Amino acid sequence: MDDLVAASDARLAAQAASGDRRAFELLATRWWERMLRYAAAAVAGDAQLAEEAAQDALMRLHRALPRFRGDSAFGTFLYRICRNAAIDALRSQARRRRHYAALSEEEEARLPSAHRGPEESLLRHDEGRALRKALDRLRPDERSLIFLKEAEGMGMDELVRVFGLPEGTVKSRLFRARAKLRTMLEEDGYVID
Amino acid sequence: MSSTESRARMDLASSLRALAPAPAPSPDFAALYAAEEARELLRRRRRTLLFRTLPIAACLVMALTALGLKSRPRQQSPFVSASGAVTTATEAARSLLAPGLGGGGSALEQFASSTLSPRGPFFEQRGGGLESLVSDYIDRLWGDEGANDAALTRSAEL
Repeated sequence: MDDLVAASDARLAAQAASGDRRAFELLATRWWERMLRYAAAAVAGDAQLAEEAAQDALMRLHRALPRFRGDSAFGTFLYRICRNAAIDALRSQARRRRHYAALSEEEEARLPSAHRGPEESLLRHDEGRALRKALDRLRPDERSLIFLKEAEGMGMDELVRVFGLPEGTVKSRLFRARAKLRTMLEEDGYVID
Repeated sequence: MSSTESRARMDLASSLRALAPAPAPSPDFAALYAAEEARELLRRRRRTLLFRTLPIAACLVMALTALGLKSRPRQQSPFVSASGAVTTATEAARSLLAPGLGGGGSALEQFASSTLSPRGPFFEQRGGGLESLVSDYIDRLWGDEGANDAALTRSAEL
């Protein structure tokens, strides 16, 4: 077994930036599930859109790696890319929805929808459905903040780097996002820890 | 019983993680590399197109500037007539596009790369010095009639 498998993110990133496809694939595979989880939260649980955003983030990462100099954690660098990819995926979805809205209801019913189909099975439980509904009412950056803080346990320094905002702004946005999420979940009968 | 007690507890971190698609799809590296190759190809084509169109743009600028000079009687234009300037510039553009031609083609290319570059004299001297700049250039370009004629003759032969 070669030592690439056990190599650090920074080393894999450096090798991938110089064109080593295997290093890139190892690095991407290592982070792929986290990318998907982040994307899913950022797009409020739409599985199809989450996959689209994660795949787009993968492409952006491939292009952006030569710019990674290691002055921040690789995860911070990657989540910044994922955030932009998720925002763009949501914008594309909004454009598609505007287009669909111009079609008749009958035609629309035959088109794939973000809230129908196989992805329903991902949110079998009421808890998941309630969370998705609440996230859907938050702004994209609020969802990202909540996810990175709560699910990834990211510190304030890293959040500041991912969002490119002053610490005070990040703190106040996080506070407001949590308060909104708590209120909405309570309306559906859940209390968050 | 309080309202809090009647509510179910949610572990936010694990619920957020559970939103991810299941089963998790694999990253599509083949699509990624194909898209990157297509992007690189497009970039190269755009660059080629730019280098091909720049000299034509130079010819157009020359022709239009010559027209402007001719319309001012106090200015001594090296061209016999404005329509002659347009014809000559068009012929020069043709010769430039024809493979293997030198003469007017290389002179135009030189003009395009030096004079029309963003830091070149065309843009820096936009305004008062522009007319004299173009006049000087036209004198220089068409001064060597022999080379120019040879280029046009080769162009016609092709």
